[in-house]
Amino acid sequence: MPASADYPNETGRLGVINLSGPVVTKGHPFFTPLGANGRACVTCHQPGDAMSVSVKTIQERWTATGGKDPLFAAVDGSNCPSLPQGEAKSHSLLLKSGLFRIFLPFPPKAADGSAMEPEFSIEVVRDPTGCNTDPVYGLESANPMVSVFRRPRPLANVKYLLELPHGVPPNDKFFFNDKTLLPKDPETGRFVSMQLLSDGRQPTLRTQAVEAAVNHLQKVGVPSKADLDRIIAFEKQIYVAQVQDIDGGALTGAGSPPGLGPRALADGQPAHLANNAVNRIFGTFKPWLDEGSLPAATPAERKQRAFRASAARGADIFWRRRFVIKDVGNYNSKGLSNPFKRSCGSGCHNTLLAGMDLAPGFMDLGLNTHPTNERPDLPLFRVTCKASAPPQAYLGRTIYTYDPGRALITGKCVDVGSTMTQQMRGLAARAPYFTNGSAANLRELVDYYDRRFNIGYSEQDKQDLVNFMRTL
Amino acid sequence: MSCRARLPVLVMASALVAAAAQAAPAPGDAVSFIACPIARDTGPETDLCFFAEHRGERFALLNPPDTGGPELGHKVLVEGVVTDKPRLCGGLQLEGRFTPLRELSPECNVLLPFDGKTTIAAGSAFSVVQRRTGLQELAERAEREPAISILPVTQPPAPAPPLPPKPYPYRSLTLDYLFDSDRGQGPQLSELIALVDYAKAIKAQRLIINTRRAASRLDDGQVLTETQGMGRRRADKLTAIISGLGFSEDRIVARVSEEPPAPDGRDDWRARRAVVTVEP
Repeated sequence: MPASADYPNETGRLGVINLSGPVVTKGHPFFTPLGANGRACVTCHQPGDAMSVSVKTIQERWTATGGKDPLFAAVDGSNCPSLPQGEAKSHSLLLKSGLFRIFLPFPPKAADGSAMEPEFSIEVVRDPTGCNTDPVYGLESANPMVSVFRRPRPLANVKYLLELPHGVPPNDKFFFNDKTLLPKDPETGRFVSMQLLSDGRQPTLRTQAVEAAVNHLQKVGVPSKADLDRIIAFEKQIYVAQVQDIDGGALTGAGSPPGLGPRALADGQPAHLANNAVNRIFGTFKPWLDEGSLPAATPAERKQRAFRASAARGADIFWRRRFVIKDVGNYNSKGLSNPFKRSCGSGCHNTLLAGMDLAPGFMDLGLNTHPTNERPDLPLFRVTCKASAPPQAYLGRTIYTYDPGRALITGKCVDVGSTMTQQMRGLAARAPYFTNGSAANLRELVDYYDRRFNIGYSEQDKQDLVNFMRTL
Repeated sequence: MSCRARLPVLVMASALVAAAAQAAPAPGDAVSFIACPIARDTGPETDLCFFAEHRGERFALLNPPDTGGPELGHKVLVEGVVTDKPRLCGGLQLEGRFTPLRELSPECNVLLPFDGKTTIAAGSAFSVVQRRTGLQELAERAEREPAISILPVTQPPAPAPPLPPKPYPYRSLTLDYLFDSDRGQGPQLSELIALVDYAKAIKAQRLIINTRRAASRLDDGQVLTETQGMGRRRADKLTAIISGLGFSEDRIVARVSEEPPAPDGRDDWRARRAVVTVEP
């Protein structure tokens, strides 16, 4: 794998930088099957897919291999291991929405493996996958598990995920929501950011790699320290971002917005709050607005300048256009207010160059809960919280959810439906979007926010936002 | 209409007369009540503001930063003393606290549109994040020099002050809490970090935590008492925090009172507190 490469996607090319130089993939533990099912880390963290895996890639692999690729391993690449594995319908969530099965013990277990008494009970209302009612894999099995379905998060630009927040004391030591201390790295004893996984269940790249090796790669036993060290070293040095757009042309170089491209991320300073008039999260896009006033010689130039002006307007909408954010559990209720009026950038996507919530931001955006999202393809659970437990902030003590999210880790009613915001880089390479793949493309992503918060974006606003996100 | 059906109407009418007959609250008057928060938009470029109504008067809902915000869908317990500060959000300003109550109250769902006149100043307590006027000059420069726009503008933390000369003095910190809550407030927790750093630096003998459970007397005479065990919860959480910050747990002493002091309807919010003392 070269030190620098770019990979095509539907709207352009994604740039990938290996900051430590070319990587010899042969024999490298990130690229080598470590377990029983033939998968390697790279199976689900593809450089060309911004270190996630897009549904386009997934479908191509199904077609090319007739479903034999290790990607479709029964353990989590199918709706349930008990289903007939040769049939596409047994892998429908992966093939249609890029979703892998995440199976978590219920009742939840603490980080040290000890039993935890949750504040709620959970029942299966319906499950089109059958896995939560399965006698071997379900909630009533001998080893009770909840199966939820999630997208692999992009494993790139990770310094932005690992670094503790700067300039926002005491939140470099405290979890914003409840003001408990942040978890600690079990090896170093240092505080960790909780930004790695959607439910925050693994504190470090090392613990994440161990869990992935055992659960997703079906390795018997823990990878060797040497292998883990190499995996982590690789993950820490890879940067991705879009570098070319089919309409906008080159996204980096002289005259481009300074925050675009993987080099800006590699050189950038992580974990700074950027919801201010200087940073505007991804830096200024003004160079492209200025460019729009220049005469265009050719239709191609006109098209390029029109796209760039649109993306620059989108960046401005992202940063400036306020809307009323209401009834988002663990966001409005974490001491802000309900409602709270913010823009995308000044609200939840506030981290310099990366665009996730620096807080860190577990929240129930509505995607995991009924009725703010309709997902007939996913399991639906009824969570019933104890009368003595503080209720979920806006859904109370009886909650219908497709994924209890963080609550499956903490056992707390207030956390039902909450998952972590994600970085926003390399978006063009890794559709679909949101933790449960609810948006097939960037337009559907914008439409969800527009509906959920009654924003009233115009058609032009929506296109501008889509074009802006395409460039990230 | 039967007499039975008419009675509540008569009671309500007399209550309204009684409320109207009361004088408007003056600076120094105490209030303590539970009501729905009401949100008001203050224009396209500014935040929402919140107030609550009680006995015909409006009270602005303000807490110190990172303490707790008003939430539609939940009632608020409002406690404090009327100040002589100018009205905010159309309401009198209080020296006190409000607590969003955790049980759902779906009837609390009023968001008033911008009325064209109720505004809030940039940098006011209702607008703490986005309006950093000091950055304006840098923002203008970034328009000319785009590379500046991806450099952090957050400031590095101030260095810790030097230790005082021996003998080291006792130091203490008071943390206050919302009703039935063990959540600390960001700025106070920053002070707690500094206090623990001090305790570690001087190798303090002990760190003593005093916490209590409290009660509030409302204007209608009702007394609300915090959940049994709230003093212990606050102490346990502080113990976990302080030991997690690196001060040996075996030198932390927690003293807990679950017996609420008699509420007076005036300063009850001040009783919901923890005092952390470094004993050199």
